[in-house]
Amino acid sequence: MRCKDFRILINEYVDGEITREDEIKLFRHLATCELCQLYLRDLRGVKKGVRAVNVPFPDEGLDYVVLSKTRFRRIKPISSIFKSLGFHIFNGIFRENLRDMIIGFPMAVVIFLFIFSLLSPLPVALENVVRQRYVVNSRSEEINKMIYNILYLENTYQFTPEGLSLDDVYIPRLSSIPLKNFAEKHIEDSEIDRIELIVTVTKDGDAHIDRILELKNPELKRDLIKTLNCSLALPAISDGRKINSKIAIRFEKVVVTG
Amino acid sequence: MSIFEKEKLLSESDSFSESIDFSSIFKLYKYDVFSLVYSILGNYEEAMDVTQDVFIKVFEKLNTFQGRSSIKTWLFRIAINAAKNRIRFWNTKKWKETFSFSSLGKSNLILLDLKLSKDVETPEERYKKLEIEGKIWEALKLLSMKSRILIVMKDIEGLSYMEISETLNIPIGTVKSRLYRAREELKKILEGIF
Repeated sequence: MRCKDFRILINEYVDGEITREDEIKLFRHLATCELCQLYLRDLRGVKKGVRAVNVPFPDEGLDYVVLSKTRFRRIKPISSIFKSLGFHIFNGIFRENLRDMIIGFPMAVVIFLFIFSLLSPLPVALENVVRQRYVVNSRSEEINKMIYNILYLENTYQFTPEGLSLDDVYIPRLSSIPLKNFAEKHIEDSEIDRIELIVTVTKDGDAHIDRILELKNPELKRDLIKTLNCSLALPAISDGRKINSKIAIRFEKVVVTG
Repeated sequence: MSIFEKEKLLSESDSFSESIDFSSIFKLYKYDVFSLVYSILGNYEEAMDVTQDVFIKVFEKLNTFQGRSSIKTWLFRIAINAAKNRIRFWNTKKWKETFSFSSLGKSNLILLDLKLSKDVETPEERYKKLEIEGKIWEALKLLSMKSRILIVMKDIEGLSYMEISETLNIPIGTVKSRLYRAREELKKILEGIF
């Protein structure tokens, strides 16, 4: 075996995944090879260094988004519904898939007809339960309890073409970096507590401002347009196609107590 | 029943897809998935974004999960693909983070080991530790995608060779040789930094 082969074994040894036989072979080699001894020491240093890095915790926004997005969409398999109702009679007779089809298909037809009869044209503005939150820490030491929320507002997504179900749509997102830069640069020092704006995200992944609500300072307005118009975005996806969408964003100054 | 007991029960169950409780999976693995994605992307907001996407995808695909691999490797596979796709997306938009190496000096890796093994007491030592940590992150970001994923999975996430092999769908021998090459790559970068 060459030194290179032993170095793969050294990696296994450092990872605690070496076999007893290989360990004996490796130690015999290490007793005679100074370069491999040095490699072992280096490798321990590298591994220890990487293991020592700290990964931050996700903030509570992750729970909020994931759990709210998934709360209403779980569809229980029909077979488990019947099991829970005590319909075990089919278990020994049909394969599970076949049983689901036989029971599920007529049920699906009935439900579809019922819903179809109830629904007039689908609503244009879709209710959205997703909120994405970015927190920008204050630079000033005196007001270090102050943070900024950059929120994607609820109930404000409008998708084209009209009448899509939220289930079919992946929400559009903006790159958070320009948003953070803007918040850090302008909102901290100004007296403005809140800015709301509507941004159009095109299917090509470009973002541009549709309108800004209640912001009278023209300089700030210009800078906001400049910042967001050159930012990148992930377009909304519906039925596997990228589509144009609108998104509402709110910069909000929040004081955290305690 | 604790989450861990539930997880054990889930993995032993025959009718796997019917008995999985999404919120338990989310609670159990959200930090692991976030940590993996963050370590690959190196950006907090992007990692939050991708982690959200991963769990929403997991939720949608849960019914199709057969239980042939463990939930953890399945989740990690989805997370790695999502992180790779995000990097690809930003690369196509000519978006790349830039890293500064202005404060880099020469030292050696054994010294790095000694520095990290000391208990942190004074603010100075704390600052030094943070500085070293920052340099390790920089080095990780300079690794190729394949190498970074392997180093993160092994050294940060602490997965076994078998789990990495299942997640990446490659033989264990390949895991070993790729990990060796990845560490060589990282060692070279760190030798330049310290």
